[in-house]
Amino acid sequence: MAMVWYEIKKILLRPSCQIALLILLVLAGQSCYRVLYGSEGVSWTNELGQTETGCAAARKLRNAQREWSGTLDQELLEKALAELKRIDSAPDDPSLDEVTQSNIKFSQKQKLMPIRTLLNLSFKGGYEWQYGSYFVAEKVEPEQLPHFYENRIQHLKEWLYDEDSTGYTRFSETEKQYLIRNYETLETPFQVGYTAGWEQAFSASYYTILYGTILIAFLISGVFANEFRWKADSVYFSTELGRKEGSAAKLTAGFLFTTVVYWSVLLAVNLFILIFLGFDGGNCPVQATFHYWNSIHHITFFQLSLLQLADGYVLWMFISALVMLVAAASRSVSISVCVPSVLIMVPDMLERKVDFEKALSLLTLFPHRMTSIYANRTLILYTILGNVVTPAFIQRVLFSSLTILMFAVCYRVYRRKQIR
Amino acid sequence: MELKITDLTKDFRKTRAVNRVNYTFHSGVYGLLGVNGAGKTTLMRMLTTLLNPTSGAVIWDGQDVFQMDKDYRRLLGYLPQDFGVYPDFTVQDYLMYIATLKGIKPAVAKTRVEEMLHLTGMTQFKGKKMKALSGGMKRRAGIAQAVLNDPKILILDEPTAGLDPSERIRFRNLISELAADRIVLLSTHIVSDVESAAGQIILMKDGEFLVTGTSDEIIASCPDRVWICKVPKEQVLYCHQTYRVSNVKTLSSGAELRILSPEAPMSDAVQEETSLEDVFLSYFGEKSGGEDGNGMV
Ligand SMILES: Nc1ncnc2c1ncn2[C@@H]1O[C@H](COP(=O)(O)OP(=O)(O)OP(=O)(O)O)[C@@H](O)[C@H]1O
Ligand SMILES: [Mg+2]
Repeated sequence: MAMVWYEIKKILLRPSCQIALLILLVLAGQSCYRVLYGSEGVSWTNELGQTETGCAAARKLRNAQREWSGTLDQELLEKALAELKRIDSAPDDPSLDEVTQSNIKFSQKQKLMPIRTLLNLSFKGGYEWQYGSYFVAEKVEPEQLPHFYENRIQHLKEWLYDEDSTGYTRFSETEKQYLIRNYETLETPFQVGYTAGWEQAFSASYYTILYGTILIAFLISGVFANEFRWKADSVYFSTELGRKEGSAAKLTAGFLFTTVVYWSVLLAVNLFILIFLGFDGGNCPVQATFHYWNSIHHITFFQLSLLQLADGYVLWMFISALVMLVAAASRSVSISVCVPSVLIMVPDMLERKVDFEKALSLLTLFPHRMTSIYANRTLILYTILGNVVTPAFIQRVLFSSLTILMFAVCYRVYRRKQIR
Repeated sequence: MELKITDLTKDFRKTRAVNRVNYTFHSGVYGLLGVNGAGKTTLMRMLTTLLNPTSGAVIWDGQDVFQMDKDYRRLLGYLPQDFGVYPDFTVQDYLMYIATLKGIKPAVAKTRVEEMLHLTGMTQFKGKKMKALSGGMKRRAGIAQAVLNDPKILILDEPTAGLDPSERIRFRNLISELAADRIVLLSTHIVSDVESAAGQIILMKDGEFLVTGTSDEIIASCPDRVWICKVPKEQVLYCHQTYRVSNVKTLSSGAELRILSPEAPMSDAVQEETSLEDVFLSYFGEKSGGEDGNGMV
């Protein structure tokens, strides 16, 4: 154990590593800040049609939406629809310009936004979000409301079996049946309400996990490579415990360091955001929000966060193991830093640039996707030995086992190192 | 206590760095002398199990050291030639860390480290970061780490490189103190380092042990004798081309040369006692010109 501590000390004493840790904290701090004041963070539009941000704004939004939270059954749907129509038909103040008028209307509708979004999604008339879908809600007639949950399944079926749609060719018949069954078994009615805290925590964690991998790669790269870089290798490997126990201590140090850094940063980010924005909505299914309406994962927001953190942890461990393996094999800090960064960043960039449909099957199993299993991505499935599996399942199995494998290989490679 | 190497060979891609060396070490100090590229470091790396031999074996008391693995490394103390440290560790941290790597119990380690700091005169620098040490101080810390575990086999690759003269003397005394009941193998280019301290001297060239023995034996083995000749200025260049000249003293009338040669180079040459330095030159020194391989083994 003493050896593990010395390995961690070697990391922590490095000035460049202290800077990297600092950058990680800044990164985490910045994602928290963005949640409160950024353009994609929470905001509240007041009675005058002006936009407010920050904690107070979040509190107002939360209080307003709380009154309209609960089980989204026919009764609540009808009530919400009636209220929306009432707001729309209320006379405008003719002394104000058009933009302000619509902002004021929006201000009044904010409390209904979670339900309004779902009305848009359910009655938009197809599987995919289209131009104009945003204005559907107020046009829904009360008689249509009984089809609210059915529509989701109906749209899927149309998407899968309409020859012109992207879903038609993407899935095999078994996969189509799997998807329909998945949609049909989703528990309804939903719990709805204010979920901004969880949604923002998710996106802040997403960026912290993704960009954090580069920093953790940098921090961990020295564990195995620095003996060579500092020419301390000859002494190290000629000591009694340097090879076997030493390699094990290095792996343990890398493992512990990644673990402690990951959980302290990510828990801090999540707790900060949830405390400021509120824990409300943890029991809502993810399908009860804009980004996840089409999701095949039957989980609540609370479960989403837990799974995201667990997956992120697997990703960080995977990166750490890869960095350590490359460092042990190549003896080079720079190579070991670059490999994972390239592996994470290049597919991520390609995905933004390249035609999505083409890149889809190729890039889905790259490690960067570990951070975005639940992000708003196009649906994709695999069939293995006749069983339909989700990318999430494959990714989890793949990266966990690769991580363990790389730890083992790294241990073997390093303890047998020769010094030339 | 016996460390035996048999037919030890190491090939790198193009070069044969160590060529079928056979030797047996018993307790005592061994000085390994050789020019750059003779294969000293490569040999030592094999003795410390850092490098696998291409063929041949290293045997400690009848057991192959590569099989013994850490049981063998427990007996080792090694100061590499190209010696690096952890820049952000203090000297004390560093020694405590190496003590841990050497499997020394924490309670013992602390006093051992203090002792070694004292022995190498590093006590006053123990709180200093390694990156802030001078080259010589770093090497002293290196010597301290090598002897931390009271090794049975102490291997020092150019331990005196970068030490100042007083530190060199101190080091020689340290080696004499340490010599009892262990094998000390030290490599150097500097003849005076091994002259007094080493019981056995090994001259290494092109991956082979050329001559081995005590200082006297080595001197006796040398075919060259030492001659002092006074020559006029215009002959100095000629002498340099013809003979191996180990020293030139400029005089008003010309120069006094110290020439290595089996025979008297000129009639008025006076023979002098051969020193180890002369032998070194005789075996390794290149003439500026002259005939091939004459006087070489
Ligand atoms: N890693 C290596 N790869 C290829 N050749 C090597 C390697 N290490 C050493 N050599 C070669 O092996 C020979 C012996 O090198 P070695 O370092 O053992 O010599 P040395 O006696 O220690 O020299 P010096 O006095 O300069 O330290 C040299 O010709 C050198 O070029
Ligand atoms: Mg050398």
